[in-house]
Amino acid sequence: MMIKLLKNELYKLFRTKKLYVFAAIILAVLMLNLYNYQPGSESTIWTFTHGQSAPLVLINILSQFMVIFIPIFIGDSIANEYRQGTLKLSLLRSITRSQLMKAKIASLFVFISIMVLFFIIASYVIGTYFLGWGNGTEYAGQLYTPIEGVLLTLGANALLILPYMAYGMFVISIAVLSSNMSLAVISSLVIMTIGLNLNVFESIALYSLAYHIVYFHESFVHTLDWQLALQSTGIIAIYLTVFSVLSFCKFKKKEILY
Amino acid sequence: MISNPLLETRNLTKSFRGRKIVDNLNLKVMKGDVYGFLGRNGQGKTTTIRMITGLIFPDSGDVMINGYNLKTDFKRAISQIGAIVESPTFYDYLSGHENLSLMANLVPGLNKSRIDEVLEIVRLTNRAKDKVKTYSLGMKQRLGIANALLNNPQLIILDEPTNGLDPQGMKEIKEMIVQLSSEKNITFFISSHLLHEMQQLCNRIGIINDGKLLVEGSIKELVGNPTDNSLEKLYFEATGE
Repeated sequence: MMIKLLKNELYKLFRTKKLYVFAAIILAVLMLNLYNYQPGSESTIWTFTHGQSAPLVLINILSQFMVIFIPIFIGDSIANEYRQGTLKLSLLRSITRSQLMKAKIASLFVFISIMVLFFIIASYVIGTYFLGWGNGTEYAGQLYTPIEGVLLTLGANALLILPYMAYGMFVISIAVLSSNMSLAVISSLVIMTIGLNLNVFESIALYSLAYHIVYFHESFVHTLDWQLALQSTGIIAIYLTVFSVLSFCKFKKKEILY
Repeated sequence: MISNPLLETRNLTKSFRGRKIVDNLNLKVMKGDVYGFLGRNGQGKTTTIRMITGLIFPDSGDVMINGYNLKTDFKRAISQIGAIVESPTFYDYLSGHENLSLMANLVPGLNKSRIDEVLEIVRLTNRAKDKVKTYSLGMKQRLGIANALLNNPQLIILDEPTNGLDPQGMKEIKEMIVQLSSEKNITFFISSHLLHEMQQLCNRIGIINDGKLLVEGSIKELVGNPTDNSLEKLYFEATGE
């Protein structure tokens, strides 16, 4: 039954326009960043010269947009379905609320993975188109071979899926509690924006989900600080667990009034 | 021989913000009934239906569906029914067929040909590929019935099924209920405040007022030889209005 529920969630995802709109936004932002891009000039903060470096160097562009895309996806999938009365369509069948929640979480994972994969492919294509493939991947002052670069790129982007999921669970818990799409989206964005601004305070940054959405991969692929990597993973796991438990408990007892 | 009720509520009670919306409700729907659940707006009809379908939880009391307790045996209990709670809602960016296809995925062992069958029953075959957002309210109501029929339920629960429909739409829905009841032997539990319509449609009724069930029984027993307004008379006598 779980597979069928997930199939339903994915069918809805691919039949709505938001996935394609999000992809178009990523594409447009990458184009804007690399069109007329002159490495090291005053108009840009980047210095990379090889197109293959784009998906690794520009990784924070995706992070910043995922902070917006994830609440919209979840707001539509949970709060909006609740308000429109379509959530009860599934709940009137022989499925448990936990099964439905698991399917929603699995579809969030698929959504995030699709966006990450699309970003990697689009960055490679657009980067190569404007700058050429180049003879290596530049990242944090080092030049990696193309194979190392591809592995590093895939690894860094895949690592960020973990904080994206934790953020997604945070938004799910807000969506279940508020049952209002606008409230879920706006409050998630406000809290995350505050979190991003607090990243300047080093003493609390490590405990902030906003920090990990941007920097989680760095201790794995750049500084190679394994103690920090472990600590960061633990903190994200705590976020994931707390908001998962909250979401499941609240959804199980939620009264469906629309 | 006395048969067991297909749907039974036992001392069902629900409060919102300190106000009792449903108060110790005991009702029984027997197999083959077209049961009219009557009451003015705001008397607890939809709240009762939401509890019967597991969408909200009673403060106390039980819901038994074909002998299964909804609280302890949810999956088996809910598999016995099909329902439209309040208005029929669907994913309006999908077609009627796609909506039913999603719901059919959630019915174990269902043959996909059932989707075409139920569309045929509610006479929506020729509009099945159109997006739901292009449907009239009457068509959405019929699609709702098709959705309720998907799992071959013993009991169909309809919440104010003719609300907002034009006379033609009302007629179609009523004909459909009569046909499904007589030909497919489906039991109906229908909430409504339209007394005259319910008198034409139902064999048994229950009257709810202020969350309490005031009267329950067969129309024949309750009003004797029914005339055009006999149910209305009974209703006003029972509620003291």
